Amino acid sequence: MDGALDDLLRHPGLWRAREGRSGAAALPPAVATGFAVLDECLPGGGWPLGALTEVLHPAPGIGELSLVLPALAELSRDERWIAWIAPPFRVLAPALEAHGVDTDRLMVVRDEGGAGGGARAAWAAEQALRSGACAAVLWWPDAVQGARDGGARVFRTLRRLQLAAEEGGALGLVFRAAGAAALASPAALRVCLRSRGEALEVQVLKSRGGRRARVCVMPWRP
Amino acid sequence: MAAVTRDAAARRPAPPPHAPAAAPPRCAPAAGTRLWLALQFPALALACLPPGAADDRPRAVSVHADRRPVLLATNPAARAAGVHAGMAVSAAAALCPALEVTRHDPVLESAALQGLAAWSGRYTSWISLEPPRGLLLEIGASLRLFGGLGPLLERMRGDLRAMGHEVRRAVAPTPAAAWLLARAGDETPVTLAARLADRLSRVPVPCMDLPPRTAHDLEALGLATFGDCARLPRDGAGRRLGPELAVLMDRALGRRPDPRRRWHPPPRFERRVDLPVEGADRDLLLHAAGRLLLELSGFLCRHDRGAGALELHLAHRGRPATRCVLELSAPSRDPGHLMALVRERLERLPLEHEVIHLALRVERLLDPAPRTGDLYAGSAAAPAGTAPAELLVERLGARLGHGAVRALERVADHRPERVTRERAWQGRAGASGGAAGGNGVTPCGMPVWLLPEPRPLRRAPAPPPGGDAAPPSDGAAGRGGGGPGRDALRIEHGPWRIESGWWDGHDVARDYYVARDADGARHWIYRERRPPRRWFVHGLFA
Repeated sequence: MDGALDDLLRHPGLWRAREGRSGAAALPPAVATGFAVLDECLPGGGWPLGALTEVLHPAPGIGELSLVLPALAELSRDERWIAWIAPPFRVLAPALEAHGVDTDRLMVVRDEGGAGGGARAAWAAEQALRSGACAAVLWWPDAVQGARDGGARVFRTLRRLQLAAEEGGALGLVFRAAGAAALASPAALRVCLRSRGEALEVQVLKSRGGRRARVCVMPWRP
Repeated sequence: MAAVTRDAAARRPAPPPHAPAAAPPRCAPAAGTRLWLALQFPALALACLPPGAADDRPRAVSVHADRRPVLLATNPAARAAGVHAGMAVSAAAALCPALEVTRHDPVLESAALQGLAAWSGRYTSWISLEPPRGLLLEIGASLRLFGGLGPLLERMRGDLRAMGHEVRRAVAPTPAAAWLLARAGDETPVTLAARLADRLSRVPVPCMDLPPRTAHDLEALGLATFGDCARLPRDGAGRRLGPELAVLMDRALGRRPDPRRRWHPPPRFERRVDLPVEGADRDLLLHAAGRLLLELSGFLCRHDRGAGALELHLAHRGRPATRCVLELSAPSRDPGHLMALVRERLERLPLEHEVIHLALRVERLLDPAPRTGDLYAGSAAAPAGTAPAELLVERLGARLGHGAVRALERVADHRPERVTRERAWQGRAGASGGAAGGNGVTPCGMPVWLLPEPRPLRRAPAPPPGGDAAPPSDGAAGRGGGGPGRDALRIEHGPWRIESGWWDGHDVARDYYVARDADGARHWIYRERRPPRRWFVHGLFA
């Protein structure tokens, strides 16, 4: 009986709240976000590596990328790659370079293959996370497909991505609409963005390893 | 060649003291000793036919001998029903009415043997074809690479099982002895020449493939085994029975040179596998592809090259063939890796018509990427470097299409739609070339997101609160009239002027502004400098 319980507790998919408080050793490695106020809010002091992070935002253009670009700039100095899976727009390299991201380390994956593209993009994100070749994987899921069945399929997909990120040791970033905040998610970290005047408000909805503050506000100017 | 096959044990530094009996790995000979592996495929005539929908049905291949059809090869289901090779077809049909008999096709069988020779390049570079259905491989030089005789044979067995071949095999220090032992079904390897005479003595005379007259004479003399023959006086036996027996025995025992013709692979790989008529089944297709890829892998090992691209042809009846080309980011010959790519592609391929045969062609043989084994095998550290990236790109490309994975390339241009180009990913070396394009042009204030096409604004943006940089408002502002509030943009700063491209026909003259909408999203908008002076959204500051 005890053996069975121990087996259950050792399951990698199980998160124990106590571990977060037991010390820094239990926390996954993280990469600093580049924003001191935000690092304060996050349990590992930054975006968790080897885990999935969900960034929820009401509309594109609110500052969701500038939130992660300093971390990507840091990771692009590494030997590994940064994969952008199904980005919703064209990417301008000069803007990324202005933020210090080495665009030679970028890999953009697009699928023009018609039906089932959402599932293929999810598959690509999972492969990229698992491969160990990527330091960070950014994925923009298809919003229309995600909402179709109450998020059950998305939940399964995100769960697979979370496990893949653990395996590959990569920073997994999923950008979703803010409407998904009400849905359950297996991601290790979920933040919701909101625009507040000149500033950007980051609300930590969920963070594996305990949380320090719920909301932080940071200035944002492009 | 002849000198080395002779008396291999004499050149061994120190023969191990223990007897080479039951445990092949323990009595593995020292590397450098000649050791021959005989592979015989008794059912090759059957294995080269299209695989049946169900392999548990009794099947056989017939051939004309003595003016009547007899069975040449049978499958396990047929043997279970009591049908054996050599039996007349009429007798077999009486014994097993469900038996499915196919006419023997020597051309197909010969091609299959060539394919097997190509496959054995995975294990040795010294291959001799023994038609119609056998191979002799020199494996003494390969033992160290594969960690001994036991692991080598085990890996070969796995490959052959995956390809669906029945095999009889034997290992001996001389090619003739290996062949005889394989014919006799004695699979325990003989690695010492000193033990050879003892082991060969049990080989029955019918397995020695002597001329019929000699075999008949031996039977009449009451000699049943190789050992019986070896006890005959040499001179008398040679006179009475003909020279063939003495030659065979001397070669088997390593007393006489036994040159074999070395097989050389063709310069390029081209093989096809026929599929059964009901062959739109993806599993059968994948199985056939797996067999071809194992052969390809051996072919590439033998050439010490890697494949740059695989070309698959799926032939249909009365229609043009489906052709697909898999480009590899780095030359490869690993069958597992190639199979993963082919599987991705075949699973994605719409198969509307049945496939009658599958062909695999490799034209370009490239120098393989220097790939070193992992020194600390099993270490769980995240792998660094480009090799996993190439594997990833190939896997993504195989499923999403070649060109789905792209790199960003900077172009020396001021026009936002031209400043970045996406091109097929070519690895680190190709990517660095793009950096040179950015020299001199450092456009400030560009957003990360660029819309594929500029989107017209329905309503002119409001001027900034300060009002200094107010864009002149004119008639064009109200064009399209009264759009929803979504477009209610307020300019934050600007303008930033881009005038360029008059020389190549894509003239651009725009004033760019940063504007925010009600949600707080920052848009990158521009106004044409020339009439009709419309407003467009061109990007997003994310």
